[in-house]
Amino acid sequence: MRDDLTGLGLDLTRLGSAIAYPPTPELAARVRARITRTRVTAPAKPGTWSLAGTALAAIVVLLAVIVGIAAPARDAVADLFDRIDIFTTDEVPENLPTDTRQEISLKEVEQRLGWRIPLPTSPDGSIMAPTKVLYQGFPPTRARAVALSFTTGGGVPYVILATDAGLGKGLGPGASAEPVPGLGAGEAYWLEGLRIVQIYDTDGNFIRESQRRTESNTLAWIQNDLVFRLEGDLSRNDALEIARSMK
Amino acid sequence: MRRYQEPAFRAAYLVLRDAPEAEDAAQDAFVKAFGALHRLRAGSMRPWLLKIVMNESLNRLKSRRRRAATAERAAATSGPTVWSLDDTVISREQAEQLRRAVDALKEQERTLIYLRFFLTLSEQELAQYFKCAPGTVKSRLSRALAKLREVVVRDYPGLTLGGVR
Repeated sequence: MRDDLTGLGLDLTRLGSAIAYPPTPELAARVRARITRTRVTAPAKPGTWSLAGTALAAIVVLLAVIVGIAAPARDAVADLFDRIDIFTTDEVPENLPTDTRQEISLKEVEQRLGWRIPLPTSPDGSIMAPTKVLYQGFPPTRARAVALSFTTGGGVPYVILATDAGLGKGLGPGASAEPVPGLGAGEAYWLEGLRIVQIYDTDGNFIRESQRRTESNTLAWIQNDLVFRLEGDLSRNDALEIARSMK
Repeated sequence: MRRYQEPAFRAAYLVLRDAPEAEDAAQDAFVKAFGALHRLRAGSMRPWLLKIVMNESLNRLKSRRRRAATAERAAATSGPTVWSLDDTVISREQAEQLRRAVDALKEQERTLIYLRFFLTLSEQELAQYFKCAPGTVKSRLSRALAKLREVVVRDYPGLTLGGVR
């Protein structure tokens, strides 16, 4: 296609470069929300947003079955439904909203959420109990988040955070995000460096009250239709081992 | 999906030239793409998705024109009809003339030019988009450029760009 890249083709390329496109709007989460709304026929009960998420997961699974688990379609499903949004940002602000998380018991948080939170297991196979449980809702949205604190056998503290909403990770200068294949149900990333963490509502808007700033090494993945992140001063292998032990 | 939202939105904007309508078209296209994923058998996601976006945008453009015609309103009332242009790459006057020349082409020729030169689809991607052999893409592109050159020479003789002297 030599001719089209010289002469008139080059002029057209210049014209294309000269078009001042408006900023691209955020579409991903809005599209996901629209599909969820149109496909879920039963009305969701108040406070049970996880039903919508479960329904969406069911749609995705059903679609994967319909398409015969063809690799291109399976990849496409994953492409269209990213729950973990990785983006870059020039600045990670310091004056983020005050932490309003509330400390409650594990039993109480599971009652509020309506789902059981998978917990890591120790090398002897026993389920580990968190040393602290923090809960945060983001009214009027239905997004909720929970943070569970643990300590490794070597005394390194770490936190497992879960949400039934979408998760955004804004990479500051120098921060990185590497895909982690084979962990959980689809997207998984290993993140390092200074970042913003934020949660999205069902319309795809980020929830300002959810924004946090973190520099901790983080493993983010999807499991049981929830978005998890494991934060702490851990190596990637240690974090993966903990994530894979969660039951 | 985020890797496709910019080309999808831009494709819709090229056709509709109105940001809110382009956003709606791109959203609708993604929803339709979800429903049609079972038809994506092989190849790249980008041309497949862009075809859905272009079809959605062209349908919206036709509806807009029908509405304008029914109401006997001037085309000017049916929304913006030009893109904003940055004159750092090419002079504004030259860009405007070339844009008008592209607008004078048939829809399929115009679409091919948008895809190849503005959205930078590769030969392989264009072949997937048009469901034809790469050789057919080359000949279609060659014809579209020849047609564009004719329009420029006839209607914009003062346009002196690299390929049209």
